[in-house]
Amino acid sequence: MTAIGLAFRGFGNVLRSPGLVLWLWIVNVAVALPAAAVLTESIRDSVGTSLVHQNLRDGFDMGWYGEYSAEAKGIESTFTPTVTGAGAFFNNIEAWFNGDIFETYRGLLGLGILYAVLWSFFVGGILQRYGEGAGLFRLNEFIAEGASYFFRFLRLALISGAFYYLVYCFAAWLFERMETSMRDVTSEESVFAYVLAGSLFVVFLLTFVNMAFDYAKIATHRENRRSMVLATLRGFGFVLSNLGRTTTLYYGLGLAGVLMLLVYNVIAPGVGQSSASGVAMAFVIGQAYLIAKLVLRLTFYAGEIALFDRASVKISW
Amino acid sequence: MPRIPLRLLPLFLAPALLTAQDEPPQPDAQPSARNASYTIEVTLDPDTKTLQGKETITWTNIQPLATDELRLHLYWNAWRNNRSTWLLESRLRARGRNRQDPQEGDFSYSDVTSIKLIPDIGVPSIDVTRMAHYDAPDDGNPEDRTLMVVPLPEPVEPLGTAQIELEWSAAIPRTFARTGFRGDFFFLAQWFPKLAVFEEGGWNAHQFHAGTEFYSDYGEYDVRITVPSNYVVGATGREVEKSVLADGMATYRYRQADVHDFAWTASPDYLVFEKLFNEPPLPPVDMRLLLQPEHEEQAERHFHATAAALRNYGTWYGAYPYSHVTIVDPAYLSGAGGMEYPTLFTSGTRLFNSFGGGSPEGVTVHECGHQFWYGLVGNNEFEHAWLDEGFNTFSTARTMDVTYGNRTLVRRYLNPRGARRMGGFLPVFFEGIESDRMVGGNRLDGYRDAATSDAQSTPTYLYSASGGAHSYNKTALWLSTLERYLGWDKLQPIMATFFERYKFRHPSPQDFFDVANEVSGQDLTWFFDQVYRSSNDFDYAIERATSDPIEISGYVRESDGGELVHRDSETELFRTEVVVRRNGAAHFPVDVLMVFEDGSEVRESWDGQGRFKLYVEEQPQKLSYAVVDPERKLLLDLYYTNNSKLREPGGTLPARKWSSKWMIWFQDLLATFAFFS
Repeated sequence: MTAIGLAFRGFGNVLRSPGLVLWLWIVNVAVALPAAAVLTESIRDSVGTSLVHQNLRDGFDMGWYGEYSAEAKGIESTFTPTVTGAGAFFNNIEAWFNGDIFETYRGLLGLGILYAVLWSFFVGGILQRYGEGAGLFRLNEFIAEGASYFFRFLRLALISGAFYYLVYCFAAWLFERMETSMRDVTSEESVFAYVLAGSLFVVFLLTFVNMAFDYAKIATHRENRRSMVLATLRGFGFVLSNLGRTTTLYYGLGLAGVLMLLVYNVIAPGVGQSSASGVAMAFVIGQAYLIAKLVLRLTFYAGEIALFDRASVKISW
Repeated sequence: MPRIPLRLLPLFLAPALLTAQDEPPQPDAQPSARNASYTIEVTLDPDTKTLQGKETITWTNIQPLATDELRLHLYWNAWRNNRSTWLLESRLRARGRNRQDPQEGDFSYSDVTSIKLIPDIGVPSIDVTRMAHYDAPDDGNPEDRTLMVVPLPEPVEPLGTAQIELEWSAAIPRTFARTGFRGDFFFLAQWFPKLAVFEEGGWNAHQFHAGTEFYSDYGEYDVRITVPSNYVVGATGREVEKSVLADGMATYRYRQADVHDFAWTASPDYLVFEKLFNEPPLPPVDMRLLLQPEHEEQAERHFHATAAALRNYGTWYGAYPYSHVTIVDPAYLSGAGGMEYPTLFTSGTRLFNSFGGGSPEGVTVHECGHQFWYGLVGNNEFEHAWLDEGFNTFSTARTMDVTYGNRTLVRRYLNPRGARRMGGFLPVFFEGIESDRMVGGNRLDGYRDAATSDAQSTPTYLYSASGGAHSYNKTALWLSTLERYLGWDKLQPIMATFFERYKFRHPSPQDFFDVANEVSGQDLTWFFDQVYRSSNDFDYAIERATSDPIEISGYVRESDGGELVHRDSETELFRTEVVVRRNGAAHFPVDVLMVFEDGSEVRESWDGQGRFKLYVEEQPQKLSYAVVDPERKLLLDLYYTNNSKLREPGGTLPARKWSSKWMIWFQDLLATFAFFS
């Protein structure tokens, strides 16, 4: 089966388990909701009973925002009007790419890490879900499977964190060198070309590490591995020994993600909702995008599992 | 010791010069005093990044007192070592554009190798090189060499002239303070030994500070610039001569009278565009644009913004008197962008700059606007930078508003760690999120944090790190406040009179205050005391807004001699109470508007002096809302959200709307964590 066929097969597997998608979305909402409630209160307190109320309902008020951000602390300090529409994605991918994600408000960073740990807990169940012969989605089985692999995947997450850290160190070094070595370049086009090439290379490294650890998790699950160091080697080994199919599958799905984002960029609601129904509709569209993003992430796993299962028939070490 | 004969000035100039600081020049006089003129020959070596120069300064003492020394600015010595006052101050600043971390090869110097006095034609020159020494009057820093004192063997009497000839060499810095090089791009400003200003009280000569700009007398400049022949040159003034030399070099001669500085640029990459600004009754201006090739499609936008500045400033304040202006689009990351020089300014733009985000229009209007506030009205930027920066920020915001309207929020992405100076490459426009003139253009947000940190009357070179907020933001805000308080029909003549009266001269803050009082016909001292002489902040708020039924409970006699009747309540009228509070230390007269549920309005005026004011209304309608300063005349009010109050809570929709957008962002962030976990 080709990589594209595997991607479609994975996508089909994900669609066959809507309960899993629903569960993961609920968890996502549950983690985000308390923080959003805190922000709601904060904005409400700031606006009070002033006439700014009307401006914020009809659009945005940069004057109010200047006052608000001047006093903002904690979660409030993460609120900017650029979270609107596709800006939400751009802000996050930028923050992830340049490492600013680790310098955000610590409370949110903590929630992010908590969420990542939760996902480490869920991964066992996700991998079991998309394997051969999985039955109906049952939450108790899903939890049980996750629990049995949790500490292994947590160790694996720490190892992957070390790899990501190395990539960040390399990226900082690379761009610092780039800036220094281009101190006499007078054309932005030239600098942009180098930065873009460097950025694509860093993105490649980040995603390659991500892909290798996906297979490390799959190998851990499929081969019931105990050593996460060996699982890591297995993940990298699998990617390298099936370079064509693993990268085509991964980056093909990545491309699908980019297309999805382009669509969202077009339909993402702007600032103009001034009624409760309009706000609700904008929220629903945003949730649809997030669900699509979840489905995409699960499709990565499902496609990779299908590839791993087929390719591993002949390989065992 | 030979005597320095004083040459007589042209007689028609003498009366004007002696009183130049006090009275406007006569209509038949030259536009400026032209008392500091320069003839310069300079050669650029692009390989060694050095300049070799020779200059003759002709200086006339237009003050009624003699001086026995000359004081010269050697600005490039600010980056001679890291112990200069400029770099010491720069490192103390928490933020700003100044570079704080020079590396080897970035430093510069300005070495005067010969100073000769030229007594008169046929009289041998006097070498005073050894008598010259450095001085640091502001901080006594012995490592600072930005100010040179040249003692004279004989004093220069009032109306006397001294002529000196200097030879110097200079290493060009990797750009500091918008002067220097990047690759084969050169922008040379503050590059030659330059006289300080001799005032009534003596020399006004400061060291070069990290937070200040410049101050010089007007004069004539005749400058010959020798560069490789493949370089395109732009400079203050007009090119009057070009000669190609045998060694692959070319010499360009630029001349300009009635300016107080001279800057130039050279690069082999510039594309040259020219366009005529021709909008009678304003005089025509040749606009010359030196553009980076990668910005070719933005040429027309530079011209459009330059024309907007020439038109609006010219109409509001007074015509641009020179026949030419040069717009320079500096090389990427050269650090030379966004700076003004007489008849030339640097703009600055980026790749992918779509229209609507305010770039390059904003910086182009601003720097072109400095031709008026700085170039023509030549205030002392060492001490009163707000006079040009603030006036110009106000005027820029006004011009941008009438020409382009609001500015859409733009964020540039692809800003990798380790290369933050590159500033992101891919712009995303956030439609519907706009910055307007009054808050965004006048930069209220930047002022809020610094509001009480210092009084504007503090000399600029002594300002704290937040000096920019006082020079740019606060001035623009109080000028806008004056505009709204007096009306543009009053403020415009004030500024036009100030411009007309002080163009080609060096006004002080008091000169402006006097003009404002005179032209407005009001004594505005109370206002300038608030905004200029104090560091007090403004903040008015509606503290309480209530409407309650008027209850009459008890016994009342319904008619004369009638019996007492018990009444429980009377509900036709509501008692509305509005408490307005002055939270800030500064005060300003404000209106208070009360709007009732039937749409009727009651407007009151308060002098704003007390700490609070209670308004009581008895109306058949309940209050809908109350606003203090409903037209937002007081742009200096730091917190406008608290200026209004609805009697009934307005609901949670806005908070839910924006927190739900934030929540989607946060959910996406979580999903990103999950993707990589």
